[in-house]
Amino acid sequence: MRYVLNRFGFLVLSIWAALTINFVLPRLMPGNPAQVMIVRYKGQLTPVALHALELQFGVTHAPLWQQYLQYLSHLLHGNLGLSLTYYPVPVSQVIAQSLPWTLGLVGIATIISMVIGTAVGIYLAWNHGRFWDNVLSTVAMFTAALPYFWLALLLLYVLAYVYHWFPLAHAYSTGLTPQWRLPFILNVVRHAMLPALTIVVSSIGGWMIGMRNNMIQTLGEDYMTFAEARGIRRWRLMFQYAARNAILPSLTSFAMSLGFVVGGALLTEMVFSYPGVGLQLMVAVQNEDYPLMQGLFLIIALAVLIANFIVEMFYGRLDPRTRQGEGGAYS
Amino acid sequence: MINRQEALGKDEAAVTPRPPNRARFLVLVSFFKNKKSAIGFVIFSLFAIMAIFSPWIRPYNPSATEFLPLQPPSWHHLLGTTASGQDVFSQLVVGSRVSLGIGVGAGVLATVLAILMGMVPAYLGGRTDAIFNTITNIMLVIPGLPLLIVITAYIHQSGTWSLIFVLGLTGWAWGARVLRSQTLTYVRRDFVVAAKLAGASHWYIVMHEILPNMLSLVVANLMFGTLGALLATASLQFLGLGNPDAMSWGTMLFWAENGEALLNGAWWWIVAPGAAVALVGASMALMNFGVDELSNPRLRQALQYSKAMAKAQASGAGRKRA
Amino acid sequence: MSESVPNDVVLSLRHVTIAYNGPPPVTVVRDVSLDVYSGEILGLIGESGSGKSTLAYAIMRILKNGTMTSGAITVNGRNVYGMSAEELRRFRWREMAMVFQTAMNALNPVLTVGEQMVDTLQSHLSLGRREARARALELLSLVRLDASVLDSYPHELSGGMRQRVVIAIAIALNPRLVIMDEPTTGLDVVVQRTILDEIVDIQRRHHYTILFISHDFPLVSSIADRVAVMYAGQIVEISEGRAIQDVGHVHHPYTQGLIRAVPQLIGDEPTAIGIPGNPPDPRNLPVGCAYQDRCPLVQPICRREGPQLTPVGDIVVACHVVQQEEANVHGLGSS
Repeated sequence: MRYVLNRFGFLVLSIWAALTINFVLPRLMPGNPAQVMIVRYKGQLTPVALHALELQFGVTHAPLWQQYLQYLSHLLHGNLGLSLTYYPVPVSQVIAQSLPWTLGLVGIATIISMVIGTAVGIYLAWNHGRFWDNVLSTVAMFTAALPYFWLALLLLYVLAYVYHWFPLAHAYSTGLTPQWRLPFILNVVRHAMLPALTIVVSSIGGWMIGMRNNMIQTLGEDYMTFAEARGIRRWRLMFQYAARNAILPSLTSFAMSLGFVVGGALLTEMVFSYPGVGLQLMVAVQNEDYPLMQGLFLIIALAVLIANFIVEMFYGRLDPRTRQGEGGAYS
Repeated sequence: MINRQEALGKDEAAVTPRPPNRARFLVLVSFFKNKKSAIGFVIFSLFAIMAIFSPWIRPYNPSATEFLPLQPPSWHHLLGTTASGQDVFSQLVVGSRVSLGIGVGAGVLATVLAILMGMVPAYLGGRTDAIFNTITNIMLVIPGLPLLIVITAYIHQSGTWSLIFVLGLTGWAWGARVLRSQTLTYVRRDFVVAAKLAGASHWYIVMHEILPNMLSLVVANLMFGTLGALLATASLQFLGLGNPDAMSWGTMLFWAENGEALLNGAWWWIVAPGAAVALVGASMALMNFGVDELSNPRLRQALQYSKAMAKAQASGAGRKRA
Repeated sequence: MSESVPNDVVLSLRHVTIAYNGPPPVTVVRDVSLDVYSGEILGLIGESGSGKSTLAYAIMRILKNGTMTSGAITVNGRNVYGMSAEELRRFRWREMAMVFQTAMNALNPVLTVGEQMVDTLQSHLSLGRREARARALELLSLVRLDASVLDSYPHELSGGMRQRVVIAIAIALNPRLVIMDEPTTGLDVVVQRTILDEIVDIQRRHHYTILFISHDFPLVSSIADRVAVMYAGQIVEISEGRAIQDVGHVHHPYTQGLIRAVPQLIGDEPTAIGIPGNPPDPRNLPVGCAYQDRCPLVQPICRREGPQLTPVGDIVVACHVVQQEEANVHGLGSS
């Protein structure tokens, strides 16, 4: 219980940090970018919207703490301001439309990548120094060094443009209307394959190598020797003794890995014009639509932080030492 | 007494003494004996030479639009030409300066920050450590690339120096965490305690007693910091968030995407700069392999173990057949 | 049940030589031959690095980065190195078990003690979960642990409790041979003594054969029926447990040194005389006897050829000087 409270406290703290960074950044930047943006959009906005924008980005004489409190209270009410690109659509609505696509694509691709990568890592460590270990750990190093968007471009070119195996862009064919029916779902899956493949190929190496190295470390522990000597059967030895201990550090580093994967996935969306938050982020950046950009950053950070919290709860279940509040992930 | 001797022997085995110069030399030798790290070093050196001597290596002016557009690779244009008739190879050579410069610069900055934010508080301990550790953990979980995108979007076409600064400032957390946990294992070791008793200053102890022992970790951190910065710069520049007029691998990709390189079938325009990023990145990972295997005795031991197992199994099988 | 087996040698080592994998390979156990008889406690003494733990790992066939380069190890008449992987899995723990030196780390941190005990039992016997748990409880009470330990995780137990758990797991399948590699190292003296008494008590009741490995000379000599002394990878003396503590008895010079190194209360002042020098580097052993540089009795012959284990009176010893003296005494007596 202490562990749960502790981790929940950290979740709240890190969300607060993300919110504050979001508030501080536009006010900290040299050259007052917000002012520039407001001047640019002046003619296209109603006076009310303009005033709201000025408040949101600190182009006002109100004291900072007042601005900050107002910012927080707006957020609590789910008010992220109006998007300038899609004026007068609220930012929250743009996010609500794009978030499911990202959660679906990135979530599923990440889970696939993590499960396969971890399983292969277990196998490689168990056969440490053999053929596949040498080959795959070298290959993984190269895939980990690939820029996501570049791999996306290459896959797009070869598999979609040259061979026509996959569609070139978007989440579903233009002209279709979203509905819960098989042809449409298949169409969505077909469109998601290539972006998902990009995310899996780029991120699988990290999971694999991480698990492999942890597992090698674990295989050298005394309890492994003791268990082996006791005649514990191979599969139980491999999973209940080695893998279960080796996966713990992997889960601990999940947070950082996830932030990394999500960043890469956003770029992947941009390349495939996949209508998720990544694509919207690019649109926001290109149009200097700061309200949209801020909202997207917040929602991405929030998603990553919550996913990380869920994994930490899972960790608590796997490692009995965390339940007493001693030892474990963050002590 | 035997008991005492036994105990002493064990303690000595547990404390890693500082490697004398000869041992450091041997470490260097085994770094180059390791095939992976040697290959990584060669790749990185080639790119570094390319960056340093780029004005003499580039065959043409990289901005000159004097050639036929969208030429595939040939003897005249090793990597083909762009949509506006520029030589891709020349661009690649010239662009290596900015790309490698930002990557290495940000890597160095991130490593220095990691030492300051991870090692120093861990050494000081107490509340300082708790505060800095919390900051580190928060920085770790906030997704880096989206944050970078937001910051650089505010800066508006960030130049080389501001990119180095921003990347360094956002990229230190992982290293700080690794260095912190390693430092914690050192602060109670005999040689640190002895230095404290001898009246050495905190700064001296951290820099001269602890840091040399963690050199391989610091080097690994430098490499991963550089790799991360390299990938992130390429991403930001690809999005047009860098200065599109400063020649670099990322801006090459930006122009290639804007010039619809793939739709025109000009794969070389996309492949060349991306492959350069990937190769340098892989060289970092390869070199780190050597460093890692040196600093992590378990991995080394496991290697020997598995060989022994294979041998034992082979001989066991032989015996059975006989 | 095991008493009826006619052959009473439980563990037999013949010319066992073990090297750590190089490059270059380092021989750490050299030509060790030893028999351990049914129902006895054989103490194996040596300094760290003398090869005693390596020998234990070799007997269990769990050597990590070493290989048995020659020789034969037989347990209950079966060649340990002639078994297939599955035969070995079944054989280990049913016929021979081991208590590790690092009992602190010998238990899987994410499984309860009960799960690990049940695991062990079910890997060898076709037992249901409930039966296995019942047997585990029985074993825990044998090492005087509370039933609640069964559902505890290793990190919730003290060092002494963990050590008892490891001992309970070792005797779970009633093996004939139990190897104990420094089973009480790292525990405080009182706990050490209680656990030792428990080991002796269990041994008396169940007639296990125990190979007890330790660097602690007084401790081993107090519980062992026979003691083998190891120095630089070789056995230099085997004698009765009673004789080993007797400084007046004939001994290898190294054993003499060990006996004198034990603090004795003479008058008011405790005295202990250490052995000068250090054991030789296994990569660079001298020609002849390995003990020559520390030996007060060293003779020219000791620097030419290595002594062989030879019976001298009621002990077996590998020392030119002791063997010569014995021959002289014998020669005088007969002439």
